[in-house]
Amino acid sequence: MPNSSHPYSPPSNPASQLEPFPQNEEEVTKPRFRSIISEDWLAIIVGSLILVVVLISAWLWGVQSEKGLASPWKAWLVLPGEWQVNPWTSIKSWPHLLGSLIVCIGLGLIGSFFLGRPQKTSLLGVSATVLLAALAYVLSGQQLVKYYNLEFALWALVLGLIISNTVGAPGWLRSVAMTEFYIKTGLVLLGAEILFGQLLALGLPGICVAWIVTPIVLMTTFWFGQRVLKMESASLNMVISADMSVCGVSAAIATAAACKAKKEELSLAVGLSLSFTVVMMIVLPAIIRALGLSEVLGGAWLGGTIDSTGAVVAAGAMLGDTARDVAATVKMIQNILIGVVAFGVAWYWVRYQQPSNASNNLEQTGFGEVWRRFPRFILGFLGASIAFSVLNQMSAESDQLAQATIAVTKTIRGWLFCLAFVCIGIETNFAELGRHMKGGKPMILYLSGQMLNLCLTLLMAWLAFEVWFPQVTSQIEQVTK
Amino acid sequence: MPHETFEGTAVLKASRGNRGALMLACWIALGSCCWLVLFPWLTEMPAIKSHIRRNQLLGIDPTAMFYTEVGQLNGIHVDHSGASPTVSILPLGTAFKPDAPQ
Repeated sequence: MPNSSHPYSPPSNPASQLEPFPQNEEEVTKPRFRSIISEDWLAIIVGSLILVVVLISAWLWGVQSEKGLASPWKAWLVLPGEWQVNPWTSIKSWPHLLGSLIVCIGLGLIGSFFLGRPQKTSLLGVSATVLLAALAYVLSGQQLVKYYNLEFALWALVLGLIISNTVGAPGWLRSVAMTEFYIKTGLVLLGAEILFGQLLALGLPGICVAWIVTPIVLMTTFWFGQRVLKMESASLNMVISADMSVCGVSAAIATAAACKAKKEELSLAVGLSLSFTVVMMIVLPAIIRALGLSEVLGGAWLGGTIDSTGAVVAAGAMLGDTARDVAATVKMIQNILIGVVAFGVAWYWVRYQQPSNASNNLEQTGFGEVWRRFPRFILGFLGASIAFSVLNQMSAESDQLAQATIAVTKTIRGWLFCLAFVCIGIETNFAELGRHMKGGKPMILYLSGQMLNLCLTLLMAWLAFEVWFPQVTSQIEQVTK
Repeated sequence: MPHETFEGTAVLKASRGNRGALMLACWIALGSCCWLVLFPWLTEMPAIKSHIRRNQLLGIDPTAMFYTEVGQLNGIHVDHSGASPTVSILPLGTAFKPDAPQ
């Protein structure tokens, strides 16, 4: 029985308490919280503060070793480790893991306070969410699960879904399901890892394979979904197109936030991406061997087509050192393209996809209106990227500082994304997920896009490495042997 | 009869609650079987074990979401600034500087 006094209970007359233009049913039934600050600005402030604090501590108290500069925070912000039989071995460094949990609970409480969530139960709710995220990491750390690239996002989602679809998530847990805050703060931290200088790492062949093919596949798949498949949800179409053409889960998270996709749409895209990654990381190396492709060409093909970064490297290693190094480099360039893609998608969405409240005439959407609707967290994301790209290029010392900072913030970013997926699971029901799969259109979209991606990437990699720049290919083979 | 209706609803809710708890228990049992029995057994299969060992030796994390998580791996750096392109090793996650000696 819903308790009308509980903050999570829907208001008796929802429409009267909503902001002017609820866009869908979910928005109408969703409880409203009186936040002190918007999620976007809070994410920018919290993300920037984390980056600044970690950067300053690395500068003042960093420990220099043979491997470079190490932040004093590094040892205290860790993830559960790998295990085979006994899951307790993954948390053997529990005092250090405790540091991560405390930071996550702290971030959750900050979010809960500024986003106006009920304070009486927030410590309980945030702690439970953090423990579920830790359990998701432990589940993904089993060696077999890790080998098949079934990463934490999937298990965080599954844990949340199991709770919400069996006993139901209690109000104190649902009230602190701050998915967007976690995702946007994580994306601001991810921005620091997007170093634009590395876009040119593979020279002209890299430009051909990653810069040209990736946007073509993204735009063509999106067009195909809208015009041919006539997908009901443009945002689902965009998230699937981006995760398939760019780099899997991280691209799905960034574009979902940029085009304001529903949580179920992100879940679906991530599920599709991880399922096909498992298949492709095993099948593609076998096909490359059967076709007798060179390691350079094979590596470039793997790097441009398999969604997940870790799976690309693992599949490349099946072919050899050269293939592994080329595959990792192509995927790294695609990783960095996330910055450009997220900005482009956010701009396209506010300009052409979102109906204006003031006017539905798209031609009248001026710069002011675009700015008003633009997701602000993208500014934090790009700002962090630009700042760290500059640090990366300035001098060897500043680069060391940037690397020491990223080594810590990438762990916090991982925890934040994991918390986000737990929250998505908690707020989603199976029926809603099934509704999005209706007609199998998302699957058809993914398969069609991936077929185009496979053909176009192979053609471009062959032209770039075998026809236009064969001298680069022979040098790569010499250097990596 | 309002009283009967209320009781009926309460019974229905209690039955749903029990079914939910039973479902949760089933999921926990299934998950425990998979993670504590099935997966460790599959991990020991020679074909899979050799792949896992190779990844461990090379320091590859197959679940890496972003290039900064893949570990200490090498990438490729191609420089077109000279008369002919030159190729060198680029440690991933570190600076790419066109002017720096490679």
